[in-house]
Amino acid sequence: MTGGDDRAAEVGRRIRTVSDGVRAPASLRLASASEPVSRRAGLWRPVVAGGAMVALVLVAILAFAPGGRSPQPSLGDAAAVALRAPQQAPPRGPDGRLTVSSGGVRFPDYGAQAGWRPVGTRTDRLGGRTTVSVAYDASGARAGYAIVAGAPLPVPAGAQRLVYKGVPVAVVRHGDLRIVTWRRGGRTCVVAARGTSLDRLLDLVAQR
Amino acid sequence: MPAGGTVAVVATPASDGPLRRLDPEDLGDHLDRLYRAAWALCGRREDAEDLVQETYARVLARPRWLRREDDLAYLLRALRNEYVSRARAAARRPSPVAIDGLHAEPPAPRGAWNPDAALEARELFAVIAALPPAARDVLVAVDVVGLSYGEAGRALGVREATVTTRLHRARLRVAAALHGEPDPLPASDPRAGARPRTA
Repeated sequence: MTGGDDRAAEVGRRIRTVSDGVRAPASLRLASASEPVSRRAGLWRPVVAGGAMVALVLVAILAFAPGGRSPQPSLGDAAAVALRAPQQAPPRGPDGRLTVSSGGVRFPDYGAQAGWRPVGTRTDRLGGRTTVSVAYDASGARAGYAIVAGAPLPVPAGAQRLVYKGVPVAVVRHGDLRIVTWRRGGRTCVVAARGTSLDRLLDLVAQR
Repeated sequence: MPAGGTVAVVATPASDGPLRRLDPEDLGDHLDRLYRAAWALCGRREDAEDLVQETYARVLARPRWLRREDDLAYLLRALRNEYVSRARAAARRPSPVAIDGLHAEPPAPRGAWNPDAALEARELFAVIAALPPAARDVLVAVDVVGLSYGEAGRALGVREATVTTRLHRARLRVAAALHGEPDPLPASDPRAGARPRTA
């Protein structure tokens, strides 16, 4: 064996040793364990059946704004609303495009060319604030997009902060839950989804 | 052929044996190794979690039928294809820019293996993720996931001899990177950075 062979073999052993010590996180185990049931159940049922659990988890994690409990709704409250099942089909204009907006802030609709397709809307009152939500589907994934009127919702400490297409956004992760939030037109935009990558959720940040 | 639903069949010769269904209940058995592979492909744990979840979601979207290929090799191939698709999609988007350094991890010190296991894995997988695709994929298949050379060749669509050669060179590149040495196979070398065949 040459010196290079020895070195390559040692590296191989080391990679295997290090790799063997890596375990998938618990959140991934829970998410993968639940996947077969949700996939068999179809698109609507996991949103409805999982919505209550998601809401509980989100409220437990995000209900307390930095500095203590606040009377205003939390980011978790908004995300839970965004993930609720839609109440009606999305309204569309003569050109077939989505016509839903909140305080002048329009929900995106990229049509057939993009991944996310609006499938329904709902309106709620969250802490006394009008909250309009649109549910989006893409290749079997579901994302909820809520626009909350009023003052900014507090963002938990430790949230990842990015600038995407010139828009400052905050990202919160918990297990397979992803929540992206930003301000637009004096309103708080919140996008939430389970088991969906941040890259795909950021597609909903741009407005069209 | 099974009745009802859409059937995804792996395109292998009929002589490779009867069809068998990929059992969704068995996917959890491979989760650790797929997560390791995803981390080594992406270079970041958070991206690895996303990649594994999306791979499982796609695989479970409809029944999967395999012939000769074993579950893990099939899942690795699905993971790699998902990674390539996401990388292409991401290349078409503007990149998000971190604005408060939360994810600006300082580079690990060079010259010695970091004794802390978590940091070692992070540094090692970042180095592997930065390899040219052909080298990275072989290293992930054999050293990270634990496939045999033959299984890796079938999963990646290359000959076993090619796996052997690429693996050797990939390991040398990883060793050089971890010790702060020049790349033993610079980009100008025709043996470096060969594009893998699509699996």
